[in-house]
Amino acid sequence: MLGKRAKERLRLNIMRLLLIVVTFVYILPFFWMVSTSLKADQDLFLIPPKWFPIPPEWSNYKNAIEYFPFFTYFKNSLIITFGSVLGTLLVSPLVAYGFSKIYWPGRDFFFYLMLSTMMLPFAVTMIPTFIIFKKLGLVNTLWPLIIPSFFGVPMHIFLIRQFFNTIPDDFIDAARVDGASELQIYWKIMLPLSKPILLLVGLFQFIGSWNNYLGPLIYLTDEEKYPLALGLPLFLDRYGTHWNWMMAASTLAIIPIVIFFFFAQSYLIEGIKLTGLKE
Amino acid sequence: MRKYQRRNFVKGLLFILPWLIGFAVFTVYPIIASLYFSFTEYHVTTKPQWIGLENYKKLFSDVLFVKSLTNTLYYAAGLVPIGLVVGLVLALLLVQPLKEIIFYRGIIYFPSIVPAYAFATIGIWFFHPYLGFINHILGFFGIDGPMWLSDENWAKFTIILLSQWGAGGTALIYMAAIKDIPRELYEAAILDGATRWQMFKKITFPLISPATLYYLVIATLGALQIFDLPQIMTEGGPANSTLSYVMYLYRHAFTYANMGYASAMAWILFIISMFLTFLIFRTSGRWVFYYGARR
Amino acid sequence: MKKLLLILTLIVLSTFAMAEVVEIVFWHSMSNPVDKKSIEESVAKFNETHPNIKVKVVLVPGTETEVTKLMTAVAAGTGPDVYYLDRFTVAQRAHQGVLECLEDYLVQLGVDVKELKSKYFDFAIAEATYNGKLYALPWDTDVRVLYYNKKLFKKAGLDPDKPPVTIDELDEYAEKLTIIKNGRIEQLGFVPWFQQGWHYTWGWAFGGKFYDEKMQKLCFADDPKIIASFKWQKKYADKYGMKNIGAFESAYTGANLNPFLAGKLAMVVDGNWFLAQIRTFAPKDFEFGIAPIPYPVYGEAGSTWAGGWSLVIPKGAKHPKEAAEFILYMATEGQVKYAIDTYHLPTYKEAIPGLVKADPMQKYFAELLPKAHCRPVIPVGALLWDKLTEARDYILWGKKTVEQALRDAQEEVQEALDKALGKK
Repeated sequence: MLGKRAKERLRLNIMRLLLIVVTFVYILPFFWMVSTSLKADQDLFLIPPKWFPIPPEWSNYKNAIEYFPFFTYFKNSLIITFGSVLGTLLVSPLVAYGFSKIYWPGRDFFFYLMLSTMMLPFAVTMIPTFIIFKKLGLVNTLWPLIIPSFFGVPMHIFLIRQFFNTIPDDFIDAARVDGASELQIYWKIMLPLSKPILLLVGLFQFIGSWNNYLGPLIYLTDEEKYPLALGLPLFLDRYGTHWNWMMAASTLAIIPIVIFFFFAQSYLIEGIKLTGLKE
Repeated sequence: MRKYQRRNFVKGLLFILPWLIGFAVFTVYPIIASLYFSFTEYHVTTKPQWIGLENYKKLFSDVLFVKSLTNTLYYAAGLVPIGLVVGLVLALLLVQPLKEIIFYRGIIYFPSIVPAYAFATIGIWFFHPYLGFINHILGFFGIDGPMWLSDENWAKFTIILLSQWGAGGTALIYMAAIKDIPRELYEAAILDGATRWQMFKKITFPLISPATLYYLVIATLGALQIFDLPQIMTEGGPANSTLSYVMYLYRHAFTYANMGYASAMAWILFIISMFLTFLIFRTSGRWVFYYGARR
Repeated sequence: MKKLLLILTLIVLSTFAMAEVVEIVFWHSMSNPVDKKSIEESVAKFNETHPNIKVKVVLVPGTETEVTKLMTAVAAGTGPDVYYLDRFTVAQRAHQGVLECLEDYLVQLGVDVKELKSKYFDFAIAEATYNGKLYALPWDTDVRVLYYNKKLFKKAGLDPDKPPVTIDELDEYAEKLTIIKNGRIEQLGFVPWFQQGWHYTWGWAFGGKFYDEKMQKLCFADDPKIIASFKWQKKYADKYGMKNIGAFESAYTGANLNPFLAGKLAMVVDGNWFLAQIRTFAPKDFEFGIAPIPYPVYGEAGSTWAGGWSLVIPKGAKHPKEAAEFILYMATEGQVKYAIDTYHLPTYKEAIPGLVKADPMQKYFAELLPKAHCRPVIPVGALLWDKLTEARDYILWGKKTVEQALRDAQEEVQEALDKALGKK
């Protein structure tokens, strides 16, 4: 019979095998995107498709960034996204704390009220919301795309609240007995223990803002303010969409997200809990 | 209210104040406006005309409305449980102590950030009835694969399967939840001779239940509002079998400029969402376990 | 003293001149660099020659049916002065109160509207008119034709220089050009509803009529020729099986996939724009031909229909008169230049010679324009399109009979139409 060590190794290798299979399936969309971005015009429509374009058509990348002011749009995407992520991380945990570790009358009512705001499709609230921003004089600026996150994002507040709830109340109560204010508890206990989930929320908000199309579509009317999300659909053309250029632009567009992702997920390696009460 | 309750009330309110202000300034008016519109004939660029319950009455005899609703309920019934299983299984795989785990995590998350057209095209290829990967594999087992997206009986299911490429997000959340489970619980269980499955059932699953609650609510709401994938991949076909509720709503809102009608649809969806969310929370008392919570 | 007076006069005059410069905003969605450049150059020329008007041109994302941005802006009162609108939707948008009446402002500018109208093709003016008045000036347009793969013709023993002319010939050729192995379609000769083979395309090719303008009644459900056109399409569905065709077709939906360009589909009806795609993306050794759309003996020879864009003034525009002046310029001089720069088909007759000189192949398409159909000009045009498409799907999938599907569609749209026209 296999010894304990060997059994564990076998188990891990089976996991590894499963992961490799899964990874192969999951890498396909990304692979196709990059592969298309390197195809020459005549190779785009071949059936069966050419998976490995040889030689690679690097000029597609040049054409992609010349199709529209790529770096201007990129800069705008960065501004909108960083602003939103900052707003989200500043405010959402704060609100989540109010829904989590403080027990107050009416708390559940407001919590469900907040959840209910996610139940109406944006299409029907879009125009009244736009009118509000118009009255504030913020149409054709980047502000309507950044300001809302400074008031908390319900979806993220919900997620953080779930994780806050798993932190033992005894711990918090002990701190209160010791004379800590709520704000101190929030800052010194809740936040440090929640780094992984906060990074995840940051990542999700990053992607949401980066790829947001409808918001920029209705609020921006100056080409110099457009983010990448508005730039990519510009490749679509009845007279011949250059899918290769479009995929090249898309590949470049996801680089920041990839960077953020690897940064965020490294924190998920840490934090293996060794004691009953966390750290 | 007793004194300490009042104190807590103030504290709680203060913490949620940013959201409350945002709600009052940006959210209340559009919500009430859309409710009002649902009782009107409103063509966006003209003045709304009150017509009472007309829109709602018309909806129930609208064949496409019913179809989009049943389609969407089907989507929800498939997406929510399947997404949970896939997300959880991926998370369990991705917390294994393998050296190259970062690589796997990255790749599995990638489809969630790739633009929709890349996604859609690969999906179409993958499930292509003749040249696709899936039917190739099925062929090895002697199974004649279905026509997937071209078959009105399989199209929705295919979209549900394709959505699993986006399960990376759920996996990440579950990974964070799993990381939070105190190791000593497992150590004690191993000493007691528990099997892996028992540990999963009695330790892992209950302790990640807060994340599960989040997932169930968000995934349900998301499924009810599904738009991008069916719009890009099949535009509602074949024969309206993949037409989702919000796709149809959007069509009335902007293509036909029947914003009143679309608003009525939105509020019916709202009621359904409320109801389902209520159900989820109602039953949550029995299976959601906040480790260390007083209540 | 005289000098002082002179300087004062100059100052006063110059403030007048400066106060008179009106800025108008123009939104368009032509993101292709060639199209965009042509438009911008015309705008620049207009700005130069009209010093009291300054046009600001903005590229906005959008498609023929995606007017979310415009609707939102007009509803909030932040819309542009000039917009680039799908001409087919002009009647609908005019009815919904999204547009200002362009004709009123043209009259204010002293334009002879009747004479102006004669400079454009009939179908284009028809689409730009609502309640007897012009709400738009037509911009570019398009037509549909039959494309066929000469190489596949040769392989099947057909003469590559003799494309099918009648429906019967089309059916015959399609049969010869289709290769089915093991129940799978390896090569498809022809399928009526691919690409631009719409319900409208065949309805008109078969000589039918969809809408009676005089009576303001839809008549397609009662027209035997239109019924015949659908029955003929159903024949293909029955012959090859919808699932098989669907499998063949859906593989080419979404991004860069097109069976004709891949050499798997021998004949297809598509728009003149497809020519540009073929020139850019087809393999170097691709051989193809263009022909008029085939028709049955009782049908219409050289039948086609046209779509295209137009320029409109959205409701609430701050400077409608200047907007009208700009539209007038663009739709005449600007259009001549656009046709030459982009090879798009113009609706302005004077622009045709320039186009043909720049790209002789366009002559073929231009000749089809005088007799081209346009879609019924009604306030529920988008609904009619969707319902016809839906009816066709039900027919092809065998869910309804031809007569039933058409009748249901007609009744539903007629009801909406009557309501819109205030007849209910």
